[in-house]
Amino acid sequence: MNESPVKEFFTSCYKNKNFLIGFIMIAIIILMAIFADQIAPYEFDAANPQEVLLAPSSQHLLGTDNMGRDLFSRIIYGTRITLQVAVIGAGLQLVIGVIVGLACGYFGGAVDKALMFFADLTYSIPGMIAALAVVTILGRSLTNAIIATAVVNWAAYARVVRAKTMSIKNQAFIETGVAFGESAIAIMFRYILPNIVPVLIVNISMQLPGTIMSTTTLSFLGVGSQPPSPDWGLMVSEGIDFIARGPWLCIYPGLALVFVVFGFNILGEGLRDLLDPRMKSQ
Amino acid sequence: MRNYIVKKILIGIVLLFCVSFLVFSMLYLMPGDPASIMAGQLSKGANLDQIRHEYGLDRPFLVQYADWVRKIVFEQDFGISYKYRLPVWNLIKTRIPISLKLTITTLLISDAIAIPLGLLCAYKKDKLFDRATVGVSLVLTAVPSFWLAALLMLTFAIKIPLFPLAGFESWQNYVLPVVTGVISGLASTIRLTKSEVLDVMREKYVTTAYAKGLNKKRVMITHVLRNSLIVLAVNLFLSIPWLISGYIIIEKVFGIPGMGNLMVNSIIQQDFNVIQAIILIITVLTIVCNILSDIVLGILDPRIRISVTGGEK
Repeated sequence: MNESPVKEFFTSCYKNKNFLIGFIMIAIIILMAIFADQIAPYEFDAANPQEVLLAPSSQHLLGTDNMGRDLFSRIIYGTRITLQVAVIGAGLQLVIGVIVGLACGYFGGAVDKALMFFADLTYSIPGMIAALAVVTILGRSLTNAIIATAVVNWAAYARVVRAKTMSIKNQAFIETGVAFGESAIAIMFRYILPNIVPVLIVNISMQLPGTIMSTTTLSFLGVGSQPPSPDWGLMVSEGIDFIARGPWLCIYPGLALVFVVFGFNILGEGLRDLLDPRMKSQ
Repeated sequence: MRNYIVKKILIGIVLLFCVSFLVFSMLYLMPGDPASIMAGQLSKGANLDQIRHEYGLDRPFLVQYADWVRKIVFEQDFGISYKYRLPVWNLIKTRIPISLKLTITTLLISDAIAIPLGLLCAYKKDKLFDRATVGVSLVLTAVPSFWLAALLMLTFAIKIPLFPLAGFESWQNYVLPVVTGVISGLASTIRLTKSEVLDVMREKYVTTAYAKGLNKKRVMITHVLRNSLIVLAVNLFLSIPWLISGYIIIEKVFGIPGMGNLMVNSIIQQDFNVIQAIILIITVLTIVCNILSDIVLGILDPRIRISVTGGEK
Protein backbone atom coordinates (compact mmCIF):
# COMPACT_ATOMS: atom_id res chain seq x y z
CA MET A 1 0.00 0.00 0.00
CA ASN A 2 2.49 2.57 1.15
CA GLU A 3 5.28 1.21 -0.98
CA SER A 4 7.44 3.79 -2.65
CA PRO A 5 7.20 3.88 -6.46
CA VAL A 6 10.81 2.71 -6.71
CA LYS A 7 10.16 -0.30 -4.54
CA GLU A 8 6.97 -0.98 -6.42
CA PHE A 9 8.88 -0.92 -9.68
CA PHE A 10 11.40 -3.43 -8.38
CA THR A 11 8.63 -5.68 -7.10
CA SER A 12 6.98 -5.73 -10.50
CA CYS A 13 10.39 -6.40 -12.08
CA TYR A 14 10.78 -9.35 -9.78
CA LYS A 15 7.33 -10.65 -10.60
CA ASN A 16 7.87 -10.35 -14.35
CA LYS A 17 9.40 -13.71 -15.21
CA ASN A 18 10.60 -12.74 -18.66
CA PHE A 19 12.42 -9.73 -17.30
CA LEU A 20 13.95 -11.69 -14.44
CA ILE A 21 15.26 -14.58 -16.55
CA GLY A 22 16.51 -12.27 -19.28
CA PHE A 23 18.19 -10.04 -16.73
CA ILE A 24 20.00 -12.98 -15.12
CA MET A 25 21.13 -14.33 -18.50
CA ILE A 26 22.55 -10.99 -19.59
CA ALA A 27 24.09 -10.38 -16.16
CA ILE A 28 25.98 -13.67 -16.52
CA ILE A 29 27.31 -12.56 -19.90
CA ILE A 30 28.34 -9.14 -18.55
CA LEU A 31 30.15 -10.74 -15.61
CA MET A 32 31.93 -13.14 -17.99
CA ALA A 33 33.07 -10.20 -20.10
CA ILE A 34 34.34 -8.24 -17.09
CA PHE A 35 36.13 -11.16 -15.46
CA ALA A 36 37.23 -12.88 -18.67
CA ASP A 37 40.89 -12.71 -17.58
CA GLN A 38 40.06 -14.51 -14.33
CA ILE A 39 37.58 -17.07 -15.72
CA ALA A 40 39.33 -18.11 -18.92
CA PRO A 41 42.05 -20.70 -18.24
CA TYR A 42 43.99 -19.75 -21.40
CA GLU A 43 44.55 -16.71 -23.61
CA PHE A 44 42.08 -16.48 -26.51
CA ASP A 45 44.94 -16.48 -29.04
CA ALA A 46 47.32 -18.89 -27.28
CA ALA A 47 48.01 -21.43 -30.03
CA ASN A 48 49.50 -24.79 -29.13
CA PRO A 49 50.56 -27.02 -32.03
CA GLN A 50 50.73 -30.04 -29.70
CA GLU A 51 47.03 -29.85 -28.79
CA VAL A 52 45.24 -29.49 -32.09
CA LEU A 53 41.50 -30.40 -32.37
CA LEU A 54 41.28 -32.08 -28.96
CA ALA A 55 37.82 -33.19 -27.87
CA PRO A 56 36.33 -31.60 -24.72
CA SER A 57 38.12 -32.85 -21.57
CA SER A 58 38.93 -31.67 -18.06
CA GLN A 59 42.03 -29.96 -19.46
CA HIS A 60 40.08 -28.15 -22.17
CA LEU A 61 36.44 -27.88 -21.10
CA LEU A 62 35.11 -27.40 -24.63
CA GLY A 63 38.04 -28.81 -26.58
CA THR A 64 40.57 -27.04 -28.78
CA ASP A 65 40.51 -25.71 -32.34
CA ASN A 66 42.67 -26.41 -35.37
CA MET A 67 45.44 -24.21 -33.95
CA GLY A 68 45.28 -25.75 -30.48
CA ARG A 69 43.54 -22.76 -28.92
CA ASP A 70 41.24 -23.44 -25.96
CA LEU A 71 37.64 -23.09 -27.15
CA PHE A 72 36.20 -22.33 -23.70
CA SER A 73 38.59 -19.41 -23.23
CA ARG A 74 37.82 -18.09 -26.69
CA ILE A 75 34.08 -18.18 -26.04
CA ILE A 76 34.57 -16.35 -22.73
CA TYR A 77 36.60 -13.61 -24.43
CA GLY A 78 33.96 -13.55 -27.18
CA THR A 79 31.43 -12.13 -24.71
CA ARG A 80 33.44 -8.91 -24.83
CA ILE A 81 33.02 -8.67 -28.58
CA THR A 82 29.31 -9.46 -28.44
CA LEU A 83 28.67 -6.84 -25.77
CA GLN A 84 30.77 -4.35 -27.70
CA VAL A 85 28.59 -5.01 -30.73
CA ALA A 86 25.46 -4.58 -28.62
CA VAL A 87 26.51 -1.36 -26.88
CA ILE A 88 28.27 0.44 -29.74
CA GLY A 89 25.80 -0.83 -32.34
CA ALA A 90 22.72 0.20 -30.37
CA GLY A 91 24.37 3.48 -29.36
CA LEU A 92 25.17 4.39 -32.94
CA GLN A 93 21.68 3.55 -34.19
CA LEU A 94 20.21 5.49 -31.30
CA VAL A 95 22.26 8.63 -31.95
CA ILE A 96 21.37 8.70 -35.66
CA GLY A 97 17.74 7.72 -35.03
CA VAL A 98 17.18 10.24 -32.24
CA ILE A 99 18.73 13.18 -34.10
CA VAL A 100 16.86 12.42 -37.33
CA GLY A 101 13.61 11.64 -35.50
CA LEU A 102 13.70 14.82 -33.40
CA ALA A 103 14.54 16.97 -36.41
CA CYS A 104 11.76 15.40 -38.49
CA GLY A 105 9.15 15.58 -35.76
CA TYR A 106 10.01 19.06 -34.56
CA PHE A 107 10.61 20.90 -37.83
CA GLY A 108 8.30 18.90 -40.09
CA GLY A 109 7.98 20.10 -43.69
CA ALA A 110 10.80 19.62 -46.15
CA VAL A 111 13.32 18.41 -43.54
CA ASP A 112 10.87 15.74 -42.49
CA LYS A 113 10.09 14.68 -46.05
CA ALA A 114 13.74 14.45 -47.10
CA LEU A 115 14.96 12.54 -44.05
CA MET A 116 11.97 10.20 -43.98
CA PHE A 117 12.62 9.40 -47.63
CA PHE A 118 15.98 7.96 -46.59
CA ALA A 119 14.30 6.08 -43.75
CA ASP A 120 11.86 4.55 -46.23
CA LEU A 121 14.72 3.73 -48.55
CA THR A 122 16.40 1.61 -45.86
CA TYR A 123 13.13 -0.26 -45.48
CA SER A 124 12.77 -1.00 -49.16
CA ILE A 125 16.14 -2.75 -49.51
CA PRO A 126 16.92 -6.09 -47.83
CA GLY A 127 19.07 -5.29 -44.81
CA MET A 128 21.75 -7.85 -45.54
CA ILE A 129 22.36 -6.42 -49.04
CA ALA A 130 22.58 -2.85 -47.74
CA ALA A 131 24.94 -3.91 -44.96
CA LEU A 132 27.16 -5.76 -47.43
CA ALA A 133 27.21 -2.67 -49.66
CA VAL A 134 28.38 -0.54 -46.73
CA VAL A 135 31.05 -3.07 -45.81
CA THR A 136 32.22 -3.11 -49.43
CA ILE A 137 32.72 0.65 -49.25
CA LEU A 138 34.29 0.83 -45.79
CA GLY A 139 36.31 -2.40 -45.83
CA ARG A 140 36.14 -5.56 -43.76
CA SER A 141 36.39 -5.13 -39.98
CA LEU A 142 34.23 -5.45 -36.87
CA THR A 143 33.90 -1.67 -36.54
CA ASN A 144 32.71 -1.40 -40.12
CA ALA A 145 30.27 -4.27 -39.64
CA ILE A 146 28.82 -2.40 -36.64
CA ILE A 147 28.56 0.78 -38.71
CA ALA A 148 26.93 -1.15 -41.57
CA THR A 149 24.31 -2.61 -39.21
CA ALA A 150 23.64 0.87 -37.85
CA VAL A 151 23.21 2.34 -41.33
CA VAL A 152 20.61 -0.35 -42.00
CA ASN A 153 18.74 -0.16 -38.68
CA TRP A 154 18.61 3.48 -37.53
CA ALA A 155 15.29 4.16 -39.24
CA ALA A 156 13.25 2.20 -36.69
CA TYR A 157 14.38 4.60 -33.95
CA ALA A 158 13.87 7.63 -36.16
CA ARG A 159 10.26 6.66 -36.80
CA VAL A 160 9.40 6.16 -33.12
CA VAL A 161 11.11 9.38 -32.05
CA ARG A 162 9.46 11.31 -34.88
CA ALA A 163 5.97 10.10 -33.99
CA LYS A 164 6.48 10.83 -30.29
CA THR A 165 7.97 14.27 -30.97
CA MET A 166 4.99 15.19 -33.12
CA SER A 167 2.58 14.23 -30.36
CA ILE A 168 4.52 16.11 -27.69
CA LYS A 169 5.53 19.30 -29.48
CA ASN A 170 2.14 20.96 -29.21
CA GLN A 171 1.85 20.55 -25.46
CA ALA A 172 1.83 23.56 -23.14
CA PHE A 173 5.23 23.01 -21.54
CA ILE A 174 6.89 23.19 -24.94
CA GLU A 175 5.20 26.50 -25.64
CA THR A 176 6.42 27.73 -22.24
CA GLY A 177 9.93 26.77 -23.21
CA VAL A 178 9.63 28.58 -26.53
CA ALA A 179 8.23 31.64 -24.71
CA PHE A 180 11.28 31.62 -22.43
CA GLY A 181 13.40 31.93 -25.55
CA GLU A 182 14.92 28.44 -25.51
CA SER A 183 16.65 27.46 -28.72
CA ALA A 184 15.22 24.73 -30.96
CA ILE A 185 18.06 22.39 -29.93
CA ALA A 186 17.36 22.96 -26.24
CA ILE A 187 13.66 22.31 -26.78
CA MET A 188 14.37 19.08 -28.64
CA PHE A 189 16.97 17.66 -26.29
CA ARG A 190 15.90 19.08 -22.90
CA TYR A 191 12.13 19.25 -23.24
CA ILE A 192 11.12 16.56 -25.69
CA LEU A 193 13.81 13.87 -25.44
CA PRO A 194 13.36 13.09 -21.69
CA ASN A 195 9.72 12.30 -22.41
CA ILE A 196 10.68 9.76 -25.06
CA VAL A 197 13.21 7.83 -22.95
CA PRO A 198 10.88 5.02 -21.75
CA VAL A 199 9.74 4.31 -25.30
CA LEU A 200 13.36 4.37 -26.44
CA ILE A 201 14.40 1.85 -23.80
CA VAL A 202 11.70 -0.53 -24.99
CA ASN A 203 12.83 -0.03 -28.59
CA ILE A 204 16.49 -0.58 -27.80
CA SER A 205 15.75 -3.84 -26.05
CA MET A 206 13.63 -5.01 -28.97
CA GLN A 207 16.25 -4.04 -31.57
CA LEU A 208 19.30 -5.38 -29.72
CA PRO A 209 18.89 -9.07 -30.59
CA GLY A 210 18.60 -8.19 -34.27
CA THR A 211 21.63 -5.92 -34.11
CA ILE A 212 23.76 -8.63 -32.51
CA MET A 213 22.50 -11.20 -34.99
CA SER A 214 23.17 -9.09 -38.10
CA THR A 215 26.63 -8.00 -37.00
CA THR A 216 27.62 -11.54 -36.03
CA THR A 217 26.29 -12.79 -39.35
CA LEU A 218 28.56 -10.31 -41.14
CA SER A 219 31.48 -11.71 -39.15
CA PHE A 220 30.37 -15.22 -40.09
CA LEU A 221 30.41 -14.24 -43.77
CA GLY A 222 34.00 -13.07 -43.33
CA VAL A 223 33.34 -9.37 -43.77
CA GLY A 224 33.25 -8.43 -40.05
CA SER A 225 35.73 -9.49 -37.37
CA GLN A 226 38.96 -10.90 -38.80
CA PRO A 227 41.08 -13.74 -37.36
CA PRO A 228 42.29 -14.33 -34.68
CA SER A 229 39.32 -12.51 -33.10
CA PRO A 230 37.17 -14.72 -30.84
CA ASP A 231 34.00 -13.38 -32.49
CA TRP A 232 31.40 -16.14 -32.22
CA GLY A 233 30.23 -15.71 -35.82
CA LEU A 234 33.77 -15.98 -37.12
CA MET A 235 34.41 -18.99 -34.86
CA VAL A 236 31.42 -20.90 -36.28
CA SER A 237 32.58 -20.10 -39.80
CA GLU A 238 36.11 -21.33 -39.04
CA GLY A 239 34.64 -24.38 -37.31
CA ILE A 240 32.65 -25.46 -40.36
CA ASP A 241 35.90 -26.38 -42.12
CA PHE A 242 36.57 -28.92 -39.35
CA ILE A 243 32.97 -29.96 -38.74
CA ALA A 244 33.66 -33.68 -39.15
CA ARG A 245 36.76 -33.82 -36.95
CA GLY A 246 35.82 -31.20 -34.35
CA PRO A 247 32.06 -30.58 -34.27
CA TRP A 248 32.42 -28.74 -30.91
CA LEU A 249 34.04 -25.85 -32.80
CA CYS A 250 30.71 -25.09 -34.45
CA ILE A 251 28.35 -26.10 -31.69
CA TYR A 252 29.52 -24.12 -28.67
CA PRO A 253 30.14 -20.63 -30.09
CA GLY A 254 26.71 -20.82 -31.75
CA LEU A 255 25.14 -21.94 -28.50
CA ALA A 256 26.69 -18.95 -26.72
CA LEU A 257 25.21 -16.66 -29.37
CA VAL A 258 21.77 -18.24 -29.00
CA PHE A 259 22.05 -17.73 -25.23
CA VAL A 260 22.78 -14.01 -25.58
CA VAL A 261 20.21 -13.32 -28.29
CA PHE A 262 17.52 -15.25 -26.43
CA GLY A 263 18.46 -13.45 -23.19
CA PHE A 264 18.08 -10.04 -24.83
CA ASN A 265 14.87 -11.21 -26.51
CA ILE A 266 13.03 -12.08 -23.32
CA LEU A 267 14.61 -9.18 -21.43
CA GLY A 268 13.09 -6.97 -24.11
CA GLU A 269 9.68 -8.64 -23.83
CA GLY A 270 9.81 -8.14 -20.06
CA LEU A 271 10.89 -4.51 -20.31
CA ARG A 272 8.12 -3.81 -22.79
CA ASP A 273 5.52 -5.17 -20.40
CA LEU A 274 7.00 -3.20 -17.51
CA LEU A 275 7.47 0.15 -19.21
CA ASP A 276 4.71 0.20 -21.77
CA PRO A 277 1.64 -1.69 -20.51
CA ARG A 278 -0.40 -0.53 -23.49
CA MET A 279 1.67 -2.59 -25.90
CA LYS A 280 1.08 -5.71 -23.87
CA SER A 281 -2.57 -5.93 -24.77
CA GLN A 282 -1.77 -6.18 -28.47
CA MET B 1 -7.71 2.81 -59.92
CA ARG B 2 -5.55 4.26 -62.66
CA ASN B 3 -4.50 7.10 -60.35
CA TYR B 4 -3.42 4.62 -57.76
CA ILE B 5 -1.32 2.57 -60.16
CA VAL B 6 0.27 5.64 -61.75
CA LYS B 7 1.14 7.02 -58.31
CA LYS B 8 2.75 3.76 -57.19
CA ILE B 9 4.73 3.44 -60.42
CA LEU B 10 5.96 7.03 -60.20
CA ILE B 11 7.15 6.54 -56.61
CA GLY B 12 8.82 3.33 -57.74
CA ILE B 13 10.64 5.09 -60.57
CA VAL B 14 11.96 7.74 -58.17
CA LEU B 15 13.11 4.97 -55.82
CA LEU B 16 14.76 3.06 -58.66
CA PHE B 17 16.58 6.20 -59.72
CA CYS B 18 17.80 6.90 -56.17
CA VAL B 19 18.91 3.34 -55.51
CA SER B 20 20.71 2.94 -58.82
CA PHE B 21 22.39 6.29 -58.23
CA LEU B 22 23.54 5.18 -54.78
CA VAL B 23 24.82 1.87 -56.13
CA PHE B 24 26.69 3.69 -58.88
CA SER B 25 28.16 6.15 -56.36
CA MET B 26 29.69 3.25 -54.41
CA LEU B 27 32.63 3.46 -56.80
CA TYR B 28 33.31 7.02 -55.71
CA LEU B 29 32.48 6.49 -52.03
CA MET B 30 35.18 3.85 -51.75
CA PRO B 31 38.62 4.93 -50.68
CA GLY B 32 41.13 4.77 -53.50
CA ASP B 33 41.21 5.59 -57.18
CA PRO B 34 38.02 4.52 -59.03
CA ALA B 35 40.13 3.36 -61.95
CA SER B 36 42.12 0.95 -59.81
CA ILE B 37 38.95 -0.23 -58.02
CA MET B 38 37.20 -1.00 -61.29
CA ALA B 39 40.17 -2.73 -62.82
CA GLY B 40 40.95 -4.61 -59.61
CA GLN B 41 44.28 -6.36 -59.58
CA LEU B 42 44.53 -6.04 -63.33
CA SER B 43 45.52 -2.44 -62.71
CA LYS B 44 48.78 -3.39 -61.00
CA GLY B 45 51.58 -1.90 -63.02
CA ALA B 46 49.20 -0.67 -65.72
CA ASN B 47 48.80 2.92 -66.68
CA LEU B 48 45.93 4.28 -64.55
CA ASP B 49 45.35 7.22 -66.89
CA GLN B 50 44.85 4.84 -69.75
CA ILE B 51 42.40 2.72 -67.71
CA ARG B 52 40.56 5.85 -66.63
CA HIS B 53 40.13 6.83 -70.25
CA GLU B 54 39.18 3.31 -71.34
CA TYR B 55 36.42 3.02 -68.72
CA GLY B 56 35.32 6.59 -69.36
CA LEU B 57 36.10 7.65 -65.81
CA ASP B 58 37.48 10.97 -67.05
CA ARG B 59 34.00 12.11 -68.06
CA PRO B 60 31.59 14.11 -65.85
CA PHE B 61 29.97 12.10 -63.03
CA LEU B 62 26.41 12.33 -64.35
CA VAL B 63 27.43 11.35 -67.86
CA GLN B 64 29.15 8.29 -66.42
CA TYR B 65 26.02 7.41 -64.46
CA ALA B 66 23.79 7.74 -67.51
CA ASP B 67 26.15 5.66 -69.59
CA TRP B 68 26.37 3.01 -66.86
CA VAL B 69 22.57 2.72 -66.74
CA ARG B 70 22.30 2.65 -70.52
CA LYS B 71 24.86 -0.16 -70.85
CA ILE B 72 23.13 -2.23 -68.18
CA VAL B 73 19.63 -1.75 -69.52
CA PHE B 74 20.33 -2.22 -73.22
CA GLU B 75 23.41 -4.41 -73.33
CA GLN B 76 23.40 -6.23 -69.97
CA ASP B 77 26.93 -4.89 -69.67
CA PHE B 78 27.90 -4.76 -65.99
CA GLY B 79 31.61 -4.59 -66.75
CA ILE B 80 34.26 -7.27 -66.39
CA SER B 81 35.03 -9.40 -63.38
CA TYR B 82 38.76 -9.05 -62.92
CA LYS B 83 38.97 -12.31 -60.98
CA TYR B 84 37.20 -14.53 -63.49
CA ARG B 85 38.21 -12.38 -66.50
CA LEU B 86 34.64 -12.73 -67.77
CA PRO B 87 31.79 -10.29 -68.32
CA VAL B 88 29.95 -9.95 -64.99
CA TRP B 89 26.59 -10.76 -66.59
CA ASN B 90 27.87 -14.16 -67.81
CA LEU B 91 28.83 -14.98 -64.22
CA ILE B 92 25.55 -13.87 -62.71
CA LYS B 93 23.34 -15.35 -65.44
CA THR B 94 24.21 -18.91 -64.44
CA ARG B 95 23.75 -18.22 -60.73
CA ILE B 96 20.35 -16.53 -60.75
CA PRO B 97 18.43 -19.78 -61.50
CA ILE B 98 20.23 -21.59 -58.65
CA SER B 99 19.28 -18.91 -56.12
CA LEU B 100 15.73 -18.64 -57.43
CA LYS B 101 15.19 -22.40 -57.38
CA LEU B 102 16.28 -22.50 -53.74
CA THR B 103 14.22 -19.53 -52.62
CA ILE B 104 11.03 -20.54 -54.38
CA THR B 105 11.18 -24.12 -53.08
CA THR B 106 11.78 -22.78 -49.60
CA LEU B 107 8.95 -20.30 -49.89
CA LEU B 108 6.43 -22.93 -51.00
CA ILE B 109 7.34 -25.42 -48.28
CA SER B 110 7.62 -22.78 -45.60
CA ASP B 111 4.19 -21.34 -46.42
CA ALA B 112 2.59 -24.77 -46.54
CA ILE B 113 3.74 -25.26 -42.94
CA ALA B 114 3.60 -21.76 -41.49
CA ILE B 115 0.25 -20.52 -42.77
CA PRO B 116 -1.84 -23.34 -41.24
CA LEU B 117 0.13 -22.97 -38.00
CA GLY B 118 -0.44 -19.21 -37.95
CA LEU B 119 -4.14 -19.73 -38.63
CA LEU B 120 -4.43 -22.20 -35.80
CA CYS B 121 -2.60 -19.82 -33.47
CA ALA B 122 -5.02 -17.02 -34.27
CA TYR B 123 -7.99 -19.38 -33.97
CA LYS B 124 -6.82 -20.71 -30.61
CA LYS B 125 -5.33 -17.44 -29.38
CA ASP B 126 -3.91 -17.67 -25.84
CA LYS B 127 -4.68 -21.38 -25.65
CA LEU B 128 -1.92 -23.92 -25.11
CA PHE B 129 -1.26 -24.48 -28.84
CA ASP B 130 -0.81 -20.78 -29.47
CA ARG B 131 1.46 -20.27 -26.51
CA ALA B 132 3.60 -23.29 -27.36
CA THR B 133 4.01 -22.11 -30.96
CA VAL B 134 4.84 -18.56 -29.87
CA GLY B 135 7.38 -19.96 -27.39
CA VAL B 136 9.05 -22.15 -29.99
CA SER B 137 9.19 -19.27 -32.49
CA LEU B 138 10.75 -17.04 -29.84
CA VAL B 139 13.53 -19.58 -29.42
CA LEU B 140 13.83 -20.04 -33.20
CA THR B 141 14.32 -16.30 -33.77
CA ALA B 142 17.34 -16.51 -31.46
CA VAL B 143 18.95 -19.22 -33.60
CA PRO B 144 21.22 -17.78 -36.30
CA SER B 145 20.65 -19.49 -39.65
CA PHE B 146 24.37 -20.12 -40.16
CA TRP B 147 24.50 -22.10 -36.92
CA LEU B 148 21.31 -23.97 -37.74
CA ALA B 149 22.83 -24.88 -41.11
CA ALA B 150 25.98 -26.14 -39.41
CA LEU B 151 23.98 -28.24 -36.94
CA LEU B 152 21.87 -29.78 -39.72
CA MET B 153 25.00 -30.51 -41.70
CA LEU B 154 26.59 -32.14 -38.69
CA THR B 155 23.54 -34.26 -37.90
CA PHE B 156 22.29 -35.30 -41.32
CA ALA B 157 25.44 -35.29 -43.42
CA ILE B 158 28.13 -36.43 -40.99
CA LYS B 159 26.65 -38.29 -38.01
CA ILE B 160 23.84 -39.86 -40.04
CA PRO B 161 25.05 -39.57 -43.64
CA LEU B 162 21.67 -39.18 -45.32
CA PHE B 163 22.61 -36.22 -47.50
CA PRO B 164 25.81 -35.14 -49.26
CA LEU B 165 28.01 -32.59 -47.50
CA ALA B 166 28.58 -30.27 -50.44
CA GLY B 167 27.91 -29.89 -54.14
CA PHE B 168 24.79 -28.90 -56.03
CA GLU B 169 24.19 -31.41 -58.81
CA SER B 170 21.46 -33.69 -57.44
CA TRP B 171 18.26 -32.89 -55.56
CA GLN B 172 19.70 -34.35 -52.36
CA ASN B 173 22.11 -31.43 -52.20
CA TYR B 174 19.19 -29.07 -51.86
CA VAL B 175 17.47 -30.81 -48.95
CA LEU B 176 19.53 -29.43 -46.08
CA PRO B 177 19.76 -25.85 -47.44
CA VAL B 178 16.02 -25.76 -48.02
CA VAL B 179 15.29 -27.18 -44.55
CA THR B 180 17.52 -24.49 -43.04
CA GLY B 181 15.73 -21.80 -45.00
CA VAL B 182 12.31 -23.15 -44.06
CA ILE B 183 13.09 -23.33 -40.35
CA SER B 184 14.67 -19.90 -40.16
CA GLY B 185 11.77 -18.28 -42.00
CA LEU B 186 9.05 -20.13 -40.10
CA ALA B 187 8.73 -17.86 -37.07
CA SER B 188 8.18 -14.65 -39.01
CA THR B 189 5.62 -16.20 -41.39
CA ILE B 190 3.67 -17.64 -38.47
CA ARG B 191 3.67 -14.23 -36.78
CA LEU B 192 2.61 -12.48 -39.99
CA THR B 193 -0.23 -14.95 -40.61
CA LYS B 194 -1.42 -14.75 -37.04
CA SER B 195 -1.54 -10.96 -36.89
CA GLU B 196 -3.17 -10.76 -40.32
CA VAL B 197 -5.88 -13.25 -39.35
CA LEU B 198 -6.44 -11.52 -36.01
CA ASP B 199 -6.85 -8.21 -37.83
CA VAL B 200 -9.48 -9.69 -40.11
CA MET B 201 -11.25 -11.31 -37.16
CA ARG B 202 -11.74 -7.82 -35.67
CA GLU B 203 -13.47 -6.58 -38.85
CA LYS B 204 -17.13 -5.63 -38.70
CA TYR B 205 -18.13 -8.04 -41.49
CA VAL B 206 -16.94 -10.91 -39.30
CA THR B 207 -19.19 -9.73 -36.50
CA THR B 208 -21.99 -9.46 -39.06
CA ALA B 209 -21.37 -13.02 -40.18
CA TYR B 210 -21.64 -14.23 -36.61
CA ALA B 211 -24.78 -12.14 -36.14
CA LYS B 212 -26.33 -13.86 -39.16
CA GLY B 213 -26.01 -17.04 -37.14
CA LEU B 214 -23.17 -18.72 -39.03
CA ASN B 215 -21.09 -21.11 -36.98
CA LYS B 216 -17.46 -20.39 -36.10
CA LYS B 217 -16.02 -22.85 -38.61
CA ARG B 218 -17.99 -21.35 -41.48
CA VAL B 219 -17.00 -17.79 -40.54
CA MET B 220 -13.35 -18.73 -40.21
CA ILE B 221 -13.19 -20.39 -43.61
CA THR B 222 -15.41 -18.26 -45.82
CA HIS B 223 -14.84 -14.84 -44.27
CA VAL B 224 -11.62 -14.74 -42.29
CA LEU B 225 -9.44 -17.14 -44.26
CA ARG B 226 -10.39 -15.81 -47.68
CA ASN B 227 -9.74 -12.22 -46.75
CA SER B 228 -6.47 -12.78 -44.98
CA LEU B 229 -5.06 -15.12 -47.63
CA ILE B 230 -5.16 -12.42 -50.29
CA VAL B 231 -2.85 -10.16 -48.32
CA LEU B 232 -0.71 -13.06 -47.18
CA ALA B 233 -0.18 -14.48 -50.64
CA VAL B 234 0.92 -11.13 -52.01
CA ASN B 235 3.22 -10.43 -49.08
CA LEU B 236 4.84 -13.82 -49.13
CA PHE B 237 5.44 -14.16 -52.85
CA LEU B 238 6.92 -10.73 -53.05
CA SER B 239 9.28 -11.42 -50.19
CA ILE B 240 11.49 -13.32 -52.65
CA PRO B 241 14.19 -10.60 -52.77
CA TRP B 242 14.46 -10.73 -48.99
CA LEU B 243 14.75 -14.47 -49.15
CA ILE B 244 17.48 -14.29 -51.78
CA SER B 245 19.51 -12.02 -49.54
CA GLY B 246 18.83 -14.31 -46.60
CA TYR B 247 20.15 -17.19 -48.69
CA ILE B 248 23.57 -15.53 -48.86
CA ILE B 249 24.34 -17.18 -45.52
CA ILE B 250 22.97 -20.60 -46.39
CA GLU B 251 24.69 -20.65 -49.78
CA LYS B 252 27.95 -19.86 -48.03
CA VAL B 253 27.62 -22.70 -45.50
CA PHE B 254 26.68 -25.36 -48.05
CA GLY B 255 28.94 -24.03 -50.79
CA ILE B 256 26.07 -23.56 -53.25
CA PRO B 257 27.26 -21.44 -56.17
CA GLY B 258 24.35 -18.98 -56.14
CA MET B 259 24.29 -15.21 -56.24
CA GLY B 260 24.86 -14.85 -52.50
CA ASN B 261 27.99 -16.95 -52.45
CA LEU B 262 29.33 -15.09 -55.47
CA MET B 263 28.67 -11.78 -53.75
CA VAL B 264 30.41 -12.66 -50.49
CA ASN B 265 33.43 -14.08 -52.30
CA SER B 266 33.58 -10.99 -54.48
CA ILE B 267 33.59 -8.71 -51.43
CA ILE B 268 36.46 -10.67 -49.93
CA GLN B 269 38.38 -10.64 -53.22
CA GLN B 270 37.39 -7.01 -53.89
CA ASP B 271 35.91 -7.85 -57.27
CA PHE B 272 34.03 -4.57 -57.38
CA ASN B 273 32.05 -4.88 -60.62
CA VAL B 274 30.49 -8.16 -59.50
CA ILE B 275 29.45 -6.76 -56.10
CA GLN B 276 27.95 -3.69 -57.69
CA ALA B 277 26.00 -5.75 -60.22
CA ILE B 278 24.53 -8.11 -57.61
CA ILE B 279 23.57 -5.29 -55.26
CA LEU B 280 21.88 -3.51 -58.15
CA ILE B 281 20.01 -6.60 -59.34
CA ILE B 282 18.69 -7.47 -55.88
CA THR B 283 17.68 -3.92 -54.96
CA VAL B 284 15.94 -3.35 -58.30
CA LEU B 285 14.17 -6.68 -57.93
CA THR B 286 13.05 -5.65 -54.44
CA ILE B 287 11.63 -2.34 -55.58
CA VAL B 288 9.86 -3.89 -58.56
CA CYS B 289 8.38 -6.53 -56.26
CA ASN B 290 7.22 -3.82 -53.84
CA ILE B 291 5.46 -1.92 -56.61
CA LEU B 292 3.83 -5.10 -57.92
CA SER B 293 2.65 -6.06 -54.46
CA ASP B 294 1.18 -2.61 -53.85
CA ILE B 295 -0.63 -2.71 -57.18
CA VAL B 296 -1.99 -6.24 -56.70
CA LEU B 297 -3.12 -5.35 -53.18
CA GLY B 298 -4.77 -2.20 -54.45
CA ILE B 299 -6.67 -4.16 -57.07
CA LEU B 300 -7.78 -6.75 -54.54
CA ASP B 301 -8.58 -4.40 -51.69
CA PRO B 302 -10.29 -1.10 -52.57
CA ARG B 303 -9.69 0.27 -49.06
CA ILE B 304 -5.91 0.43 -49.58
CA ARG B 305 -6.38 2.09 -52.94
CA ILE B 306 -8.61 4.78 -51.48
CA SER B 307 -6.24 5.54 -48.61
CA VAL B 308 -3.55 6.41 -51.15
CA THR B 309 -5.54 8.41 -53.68
CA GLY B 310 -7.92 9.97 -51.19
CA GLY B 311 -11.07 8.49 -52.64
CA GLU B 312 -10.72 9.42 -56.35
CA LYS B 313 -11.38 6.65 -58.79
